[in-house]
Amino acid sequence: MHTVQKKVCLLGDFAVGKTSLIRRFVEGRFDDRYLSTIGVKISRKTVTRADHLLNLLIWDLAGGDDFSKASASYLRGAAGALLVCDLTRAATLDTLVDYAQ
Amino acid sequence: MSDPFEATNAAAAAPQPDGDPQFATLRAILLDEERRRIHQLEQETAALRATDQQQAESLAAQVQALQAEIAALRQTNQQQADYAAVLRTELTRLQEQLHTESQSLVPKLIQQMGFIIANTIRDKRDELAEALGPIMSDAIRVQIRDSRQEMVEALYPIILETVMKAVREFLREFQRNIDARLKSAFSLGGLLRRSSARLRGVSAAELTLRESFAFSLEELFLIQHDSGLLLAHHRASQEDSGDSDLISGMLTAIRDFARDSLGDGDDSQELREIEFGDERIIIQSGQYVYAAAVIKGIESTGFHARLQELVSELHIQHKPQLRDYRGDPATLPNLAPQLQTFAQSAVTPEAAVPPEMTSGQRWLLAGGAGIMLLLTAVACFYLQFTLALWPVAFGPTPTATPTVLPTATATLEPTSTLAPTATPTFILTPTATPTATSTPTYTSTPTPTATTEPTSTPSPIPSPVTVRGVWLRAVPDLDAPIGVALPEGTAVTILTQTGDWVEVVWEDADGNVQQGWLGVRWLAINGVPLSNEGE
Repeated sequence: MHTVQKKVCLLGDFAVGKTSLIRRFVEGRFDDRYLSTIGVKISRKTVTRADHLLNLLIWDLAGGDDFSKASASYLRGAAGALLVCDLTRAATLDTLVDYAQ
Repeated sequence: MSDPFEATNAAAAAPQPDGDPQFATLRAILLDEERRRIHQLEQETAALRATDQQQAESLAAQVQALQAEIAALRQTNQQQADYAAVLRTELTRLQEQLHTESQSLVPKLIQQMGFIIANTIRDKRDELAEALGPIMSDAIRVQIRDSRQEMVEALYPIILETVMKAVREFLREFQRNIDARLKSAFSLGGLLRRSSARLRGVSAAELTLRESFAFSLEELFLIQHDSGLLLAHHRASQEDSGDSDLISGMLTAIRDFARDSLGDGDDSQELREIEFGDERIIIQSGQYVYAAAVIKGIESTGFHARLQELVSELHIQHKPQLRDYRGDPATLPNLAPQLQTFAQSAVTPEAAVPPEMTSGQRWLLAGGAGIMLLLTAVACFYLQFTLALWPVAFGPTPTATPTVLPTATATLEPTSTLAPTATPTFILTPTATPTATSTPTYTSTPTPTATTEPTSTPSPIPSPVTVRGVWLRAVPDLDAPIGVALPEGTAVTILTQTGDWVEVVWEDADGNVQQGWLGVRWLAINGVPLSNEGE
């Protein structure tokens, strides 16, 4: 079957659960231990569509107070992005505006 | 005006006075044709009159219509003149307004023009390039012709950077080659290899490469710059070395991180090589994609240039597809074969296999090796001979050696390891052949064979004493467990010697005989140490 690749970035403040979200989506499991992501972690998830396979390369970017230039460069060529926040921390929702811009 | 035909007809039709019917018949025969002709002319005349009347009426009507149209045109002209005057007034007003508001209109226009240009570039990139290409080429040509100096100054930074990049690449490869040659040139194997290469008519580097096959291209990736998506991949072996998609992504992330963190904002500086264990990743970048080659060993000469040529060639062949790549490999179906072709050519020696040596060359090589061995043997013999004669020619005379130390030491040391010397360092220079190395007994009577020509009167030498507090050990080894401690100045009796160690016995305060090993440097006789090591 025909395969198409797409790059998707995961953005959000630190400790909102980006890596856990991806681990659950890609590996189907959850780990309650918290290990801060350094730099970027790339995972792959293949999704079957109607007429082709969608190969998602998910770039889990390290969250932080400062969305640095290095992190911004990771967004280049991305077909989409997921913005993640923690509903128990309102500040992480406010930060998403900065990420979206 | 009277009609002459009517008069003729009337005259013809009027009855003659004589009333002669024949005359009337004759007249009718002679004038009938004329009458019909006259009648026809009368009809034509009437028709012409009617036509003239109609044309006159038509012309009159056309004149009236033209007069009306002229009047309408005059009216329209007047209206247009009025409208032009209004437009002129409006234009004057707009010009005044433009003049007065130019400071604010220009930025707005620039912004709008920017949007328009940006949208055009994004949506109609190819059309824009095709449209502007000839114009820009002509403009550049004209600028170079008319303003050469200005163009040089404008292009100087770009050209300089390009040239410096090429020079850096060349120097890096040149240094790599020099290092590889130096490593192999000054070794015995290198000398033999060079000799063999000379005889076979190839360079030593080529021969080394062919013989060792140290260089191998393990994997080759073609990756999109921005997204890190893998466009094509080639692996030399069948074994799975990892997820190539994730490798390409992480490689791109590392490149981005290095450029953003270490590049100081200069996008032209890029990560070019990564080394891990015995593998290296060579990176050659293009406009839209870059190639990453995982290699082992020292790459062949020109490998970097060939990899760069591959990237450039792919850009020339597939530029639109590479630029617009959105993750669908079907748009670039021919990349994998090209990578495979390159990988195969990269590890194949360009030149043919060098010919084997002829029999004459082999004999020559064997003769050279024999001469080398003979010269080496002569050199060794000469060196040994020189070393053997050196003490005879320049050493001290040994005449006083036996006069100092008598053989009376044999009463204590039947092993004869203590040889007489001029200074009491006889332990190190035995002149006798020690034959009794068995377990010593105090009652044995040794045969003093070590005395060559003793002429002095033998006298007993004092027992060696410790020069400081020292531990006795069970075996002659520093790592051996320690036994009892000998205080400084303790007299001991030496039993045997092994290297720098001596086995001694001594009697403690309780009368118990202790035995063990200690370093010879801790013993002295009359204040003279038995070994010079400590000095």
